[in-house]
Amino acid sequence: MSSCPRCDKSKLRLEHEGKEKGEVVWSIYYCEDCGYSFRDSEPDHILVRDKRRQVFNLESTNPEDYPFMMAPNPRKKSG
Amino acid sequence: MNKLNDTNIDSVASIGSLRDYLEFLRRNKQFITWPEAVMPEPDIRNVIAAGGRDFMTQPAILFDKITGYPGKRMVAGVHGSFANIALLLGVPKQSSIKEMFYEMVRRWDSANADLRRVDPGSAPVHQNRIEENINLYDLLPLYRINEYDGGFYLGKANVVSRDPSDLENFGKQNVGINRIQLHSKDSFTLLSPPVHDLGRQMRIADETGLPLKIAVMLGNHPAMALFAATPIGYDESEFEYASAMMGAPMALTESGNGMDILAETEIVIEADYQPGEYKIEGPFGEFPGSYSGVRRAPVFKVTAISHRDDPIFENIYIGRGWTEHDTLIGLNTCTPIYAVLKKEFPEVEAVNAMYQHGLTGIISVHQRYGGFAKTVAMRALSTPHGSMYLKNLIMVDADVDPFNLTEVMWALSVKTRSDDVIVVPGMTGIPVDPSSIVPGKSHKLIIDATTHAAPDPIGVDSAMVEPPVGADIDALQRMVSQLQEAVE
Repeated sequence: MSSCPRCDKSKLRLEHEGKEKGEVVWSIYYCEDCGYSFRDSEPDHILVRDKRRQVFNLESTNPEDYPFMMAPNPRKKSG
Repeated sequence: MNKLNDTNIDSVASIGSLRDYLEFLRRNKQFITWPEAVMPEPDIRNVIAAGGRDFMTQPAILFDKITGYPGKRMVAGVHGSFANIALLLGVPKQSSIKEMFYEMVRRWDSANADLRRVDPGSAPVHQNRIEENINLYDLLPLYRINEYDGGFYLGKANVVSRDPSDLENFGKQNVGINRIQLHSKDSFTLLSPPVHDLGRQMRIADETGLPLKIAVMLGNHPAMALFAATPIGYDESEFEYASAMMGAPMALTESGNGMDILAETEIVIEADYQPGEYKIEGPFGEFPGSYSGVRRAPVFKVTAISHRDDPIFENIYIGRGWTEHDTLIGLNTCTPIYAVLKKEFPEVEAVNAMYQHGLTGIISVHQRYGGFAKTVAMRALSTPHGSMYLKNLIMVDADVDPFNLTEVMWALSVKTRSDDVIVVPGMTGIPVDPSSIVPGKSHKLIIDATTHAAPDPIGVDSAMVEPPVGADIDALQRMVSQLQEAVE
């Protein structure tokens, strides 16, 4: 895999390889830009950006473009 | 079929662990082992969703031939049917949902918790300990729960946490079910709305700088998930509720980071909250049957893992209902709303809040006077659970069974007038409701389908037919069924 199916960027990290009798049968990748993870044995409508449901593709990987679930709370001053 | 346990599990009272319960389900034809090799995607999702189409009788399904995970075991559907819930409650597995509701109500105020302590050195959960080279991907046979989820999720994680500012307070120790998305071999994001107990503890950690540690229990005594998902008070213990509601002892031990955990849990992941650190999380197919959006969610770092020998990873299928999520939380959503209402309005007969965690609820009530049902509805909408989750509320007479949708539709058809419908806009709601204009805010809708009563003059000249009901009629119904069964 050379680019993320979801955001199309290329900072993919190999996370884990599934093996049967010593042979690699699939690999899990993680996109360091958008946080997406996937297994390379999944179908094309998950792995190929143009074949995915477009609503699930990301155009931005800037975290600030996404709302917080549980926003950070400011530190209270002691005393 | 695989036998999972050598213990003699002949009654629900002898269940001490997930393994015990699976063996108990097997004996009652409510557990199967999937016989074929499966790919993590899409096979596991497909098998569980297919089995779950019959939510009255679906068995729990164990997978032990998952391609790429040799020797690993995963189970889903443990709470996936009302037959499984009935067996957990110790009632016949053919019991009706209404009968189980009243069984839950009967147990609700029980104070007889029996928590026992097991030394960590002899607790099964600590049979194996990992403190270095942690790799969640290697330990857990993961699968993408819904196909456009943003990653691999733990959908049935029972998360134990303590109040960082009151570490010794057992009651404030919380057990909740939170969705968890993996972000590396040893880190994950965890979602907790700010109003939930863990969200409150995270806020305290942010504000004070005190550390917040959690223990994520995977594969538990089935009463734990049932009551971890139940809305109870901040200073009430889910462990005590689980034991009291089961009427059975539960064995606790201590995790490596100081949490109380079930001694026979299959897997426990210990982790530290990382204040201020966020990752892009989601989407995730949630219980309303829609994907939640992409959000920034707080990060936790795994510090250690304990697990039993040959552990069973328990997970879930959740999405557009009906799914295991709905069966798991259905009755224990109804019961606390009923318990609050019944104290103030003894006229309340039953509460059915099983639909999407109570987004639609049906309450039956003895109509004392004109408008009374609407008063009860207003109170239901201000209960701790109702204020967030109840969105559409249908009020019916006490002689209408709210668990029988045919009867509810009859009441809607013949009792409701346009001025019996109230919409209260701009109220609190749940963030994952796809109909929200702003996530977290919603309307409240009350449809009063009860009979008009004085001083309302409507309907006085159209008395209702009273069909034959009662124990004699129930016996006749059974006789008709038996005669039908006997036809050659």
